[in-house]
Amino acid sequence: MLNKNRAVGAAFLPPAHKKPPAYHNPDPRVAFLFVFLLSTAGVLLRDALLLTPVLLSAVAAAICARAPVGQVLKRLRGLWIMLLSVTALQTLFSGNILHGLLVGAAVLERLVILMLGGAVLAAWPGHALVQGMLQLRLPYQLAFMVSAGLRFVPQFGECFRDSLTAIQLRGVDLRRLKLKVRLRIYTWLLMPTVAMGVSRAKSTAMAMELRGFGAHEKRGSYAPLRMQAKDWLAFAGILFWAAGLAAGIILWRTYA
Amino acid sequence: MTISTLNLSFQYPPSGFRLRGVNFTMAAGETLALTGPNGSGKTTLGKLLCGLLRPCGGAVLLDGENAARWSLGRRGQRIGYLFQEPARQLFAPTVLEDLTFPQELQGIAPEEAQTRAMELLSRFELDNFAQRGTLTLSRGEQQRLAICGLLLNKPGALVLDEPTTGLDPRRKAILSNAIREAAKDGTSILLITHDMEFVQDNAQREVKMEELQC
Repeated sequence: MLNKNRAVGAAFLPPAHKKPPAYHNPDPRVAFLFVFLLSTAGVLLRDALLLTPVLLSAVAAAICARAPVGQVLKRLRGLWIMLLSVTALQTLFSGNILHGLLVGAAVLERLVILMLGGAVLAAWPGHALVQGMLQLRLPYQLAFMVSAGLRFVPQFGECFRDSLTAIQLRGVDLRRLKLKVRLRIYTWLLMPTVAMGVSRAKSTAMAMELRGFGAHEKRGSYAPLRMQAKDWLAFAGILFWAAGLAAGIILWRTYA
Repeated sequence: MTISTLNLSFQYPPSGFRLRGVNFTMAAGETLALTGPNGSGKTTLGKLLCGLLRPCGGAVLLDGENAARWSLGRRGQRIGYLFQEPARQLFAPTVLEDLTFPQELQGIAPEEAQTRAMELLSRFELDNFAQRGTLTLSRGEQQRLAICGLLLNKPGALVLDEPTTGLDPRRKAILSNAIREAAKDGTSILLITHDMEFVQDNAQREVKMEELQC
């Protein structure tokens, strides 16, 4: 009953009956594979046209996984200004206008692909992701760190937004400033935002240590993941998609 | 600057903490202390006055003018707001730049901006840190720098949220003097604090949060 209106993550909520649940459908390891391939393609490809099918795949996956895309984008709205500024800078500094626009578009596409990858993973509850990583033989600390890191991204956006607000409250009317000055402020803001993020991460880590994180040698699990037939099918589908994409890119580069 | 609120109300979504029908007035040059238990809405009220939060109803009047449509930058030129976490409002790489940059944007010559900044830094005993990175300062030093940034702007009103946190008694006394001087120049000051000794030393009037709501 509790799970009725939940998205993908609902499958990982332990039901209230006596038997330990066999968690399934869909397995987060399928999402790991997809996000890994997606972000690899996003980072390796530099051409806006080639990035477009990757972006479309990311959008499709986000829709299929019922990922909280709107929520993620809303939380990152403070970062959008910065991302658009980076894109504008890429466009400005790359010679001719058409080439510049394509470079700018590629940067933006890459960033959106990475964000959508994060949004896809955000559709699974944290403990399911940690469990998935553990079963992929990753150390627990690393698995937990990745899961905590994913929750950290929106905070980064909030930090940036807060700093922007604080600047304005010091009498700096950003809307009236020249673009050059605004860009200078945004670059300055990156430093405190990142530093505050790192400092928060450090204090969280220390707090966790003080509360006994990792004090015991091994950690058990009530909810081991088991790959079902449809998970393997999805797994194969993703590999097929990746192979198709790679073949398409090779063909494009050879004949276009 | 006079600050007043008319039936100001606010609610955190979806059904969180609620402020209802807040009415109060601060005269120009008045130092008012806003006190109340944790979670009573002091900081929320401060943020509403500065435009950090948008009220659900009612209005904030600055010098009798409804400030609902003012941009944050415009409000910031009239009201200074000290965040509970001072690191949030420091943005330039060095202490000196953090104070000179906003002045230069307002058209003040760099030399003059630097002189004014150094005067204030020396008053708050931060002159030795002028070239230090803002993020390498301690909590108390960041607090003092954030206060310097607000005073330098010479706003008509100041909303100071927990201004004494992280300050030792000596620096608290420096802050007290600065507050009194600003008030003499006509700056209205709203102190949001639990430090009752600081309130007794500096505030002309104390308002409890529970008295404000109807």
